[in-house]
Amino acid sequence: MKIRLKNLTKTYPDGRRALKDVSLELQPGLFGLLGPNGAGKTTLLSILTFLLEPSRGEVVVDGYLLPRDVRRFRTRLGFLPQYFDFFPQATGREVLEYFGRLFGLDRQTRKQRVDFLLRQVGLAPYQNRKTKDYSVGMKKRLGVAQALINDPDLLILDEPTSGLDPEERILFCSYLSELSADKTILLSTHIVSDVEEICSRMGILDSGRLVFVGPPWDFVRRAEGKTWRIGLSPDEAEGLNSRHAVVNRREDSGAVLLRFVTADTPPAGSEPVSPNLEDAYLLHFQDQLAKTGVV
Amino acid sequence: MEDPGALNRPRKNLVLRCASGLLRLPALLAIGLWKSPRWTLRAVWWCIRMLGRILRWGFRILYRALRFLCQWLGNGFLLFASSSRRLFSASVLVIVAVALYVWLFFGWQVEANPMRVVLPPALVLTVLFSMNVLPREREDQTVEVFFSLPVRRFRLVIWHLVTIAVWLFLFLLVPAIFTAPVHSEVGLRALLVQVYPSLLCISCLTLWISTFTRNGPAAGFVAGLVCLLHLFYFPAFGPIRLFPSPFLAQAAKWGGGQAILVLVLAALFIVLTNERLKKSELWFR
Repeated sequence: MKIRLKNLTKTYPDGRRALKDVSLELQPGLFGLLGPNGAGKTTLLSILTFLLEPSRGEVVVDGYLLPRDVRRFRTRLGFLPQYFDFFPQATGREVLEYFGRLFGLDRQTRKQRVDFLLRQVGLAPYQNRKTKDYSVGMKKRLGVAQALINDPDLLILDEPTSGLDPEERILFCSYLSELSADKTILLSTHIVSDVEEICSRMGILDSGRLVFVGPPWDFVRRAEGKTWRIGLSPDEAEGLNSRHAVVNRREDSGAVLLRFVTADTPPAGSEPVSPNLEDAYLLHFQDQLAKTGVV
Repeated sequence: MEDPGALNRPRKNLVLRCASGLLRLPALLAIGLWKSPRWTLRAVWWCIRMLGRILRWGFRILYRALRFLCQWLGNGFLLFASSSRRLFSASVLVIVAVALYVWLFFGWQVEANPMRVVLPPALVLTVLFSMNVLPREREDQTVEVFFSLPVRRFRLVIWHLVTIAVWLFLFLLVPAIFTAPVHSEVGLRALLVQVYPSLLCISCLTLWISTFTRNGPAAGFVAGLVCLLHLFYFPAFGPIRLFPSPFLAQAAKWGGGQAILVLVLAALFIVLTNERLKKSELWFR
């Protein structure tokens, strides 16, 4: 499924502009969407799932302008919201059966699909347990299975890896990677490393504007020559903390090892290191994060 | 000209007519076979085939209708269970228990109009049942998943309403059964035929109000206020007119026109609620 967003703008009735002229093309594969809170990620996902209508601009799916037949489009859509907590009294299997029914799958297809997905997300041993007894990670996996019940062409996942333990996260990411061979997957997340590891393309939303679209390594290149490492005393480290964006800080036998990004000249004694997506992301949002007090 | 003997002629019973027709059939068949056996056999074969086809199509339509009904009911069941859980929060359960107590122990002891005791708790319960359903969907963020599915929003409204209707029915059944031997006016007919549709109408009104407030208690407060204003000052303009008023000595008379008005009002509120649900921005901001 090919999706083209043309000059999408969304202004809420209170005058707040959540999206400003966003143009984007999604093709089969994994597309990661990054951005700080309030950047407009959820608004963009809501427009793509047709939960919200854009104030201006258009969405073209496989050459057809939507919304013309939204219900038909939704049969090809899988959506996992940030919070998925459905029918606590029902078992995992019942929940999936229910969503299969809502998508109009016949009994045989539904059974096959539910069995397959329960195995895929590793919930087969717990399929007859009530969902209220599921852990956060299990609920998340059930949500993913729910999003895949109709074998969608477009899969939209909002924060799918939050709350998963490392092992679950790795399994989940590799499963998404497998799926991306023939599906268009849009992944909105706060976890930068997820995007770096599995997405072939990514976009960065900043205050409603799409400031970057391309492969992650292209964005990482922006931090080349701007990522440094230095060992300082605790007092000096505090000084550096207030001037530059510190990516991580590690105490090591009285000294403090800092990894930081800066577009300015680094302090003497700093040594350059190869950047990753997190460095580039922090470099981009350095000013914004400084204002909020994160950096 | 009309046959003067027509009135005096005895009318044949329908069963008798069918039986005589069926008896004629073998005779006609025998004559046909004797005169033109080939064409008669063809005609009989054609008739049998057509009958088979009609039966087959009939069964197929019946099977599909049944399957659709089962699927529809199956879909609704989980939603019903989920909505029921939302209806019965701890505070609602306490109020339900108190209301049941009032109904069961005092309901039939009031001399003038037992509706005086029965109706206020019924009204409160209806508002309590209806006020939380849609706002809770929003609070729990389940509405996002529902709205992203290829399912009409109207269906969501209807299923919530069915849930409320079922519980209200069960709830009304208790005083209806218990008070029936003592007070005929609070009996099964009065409660289920007169009060129940009015309560459903008020339930639809509360659902509609909750789409504006998007907060359960606020919706309950506004709906209660509207009902009270209506009951005291404008009883002629709406569903409460149809209510046998608890503040009157005699219950209001129930007519067919009033029943239609209740249904039309309920339908109107359902449509308005559906229209409000279609405005997605109100639910996701």
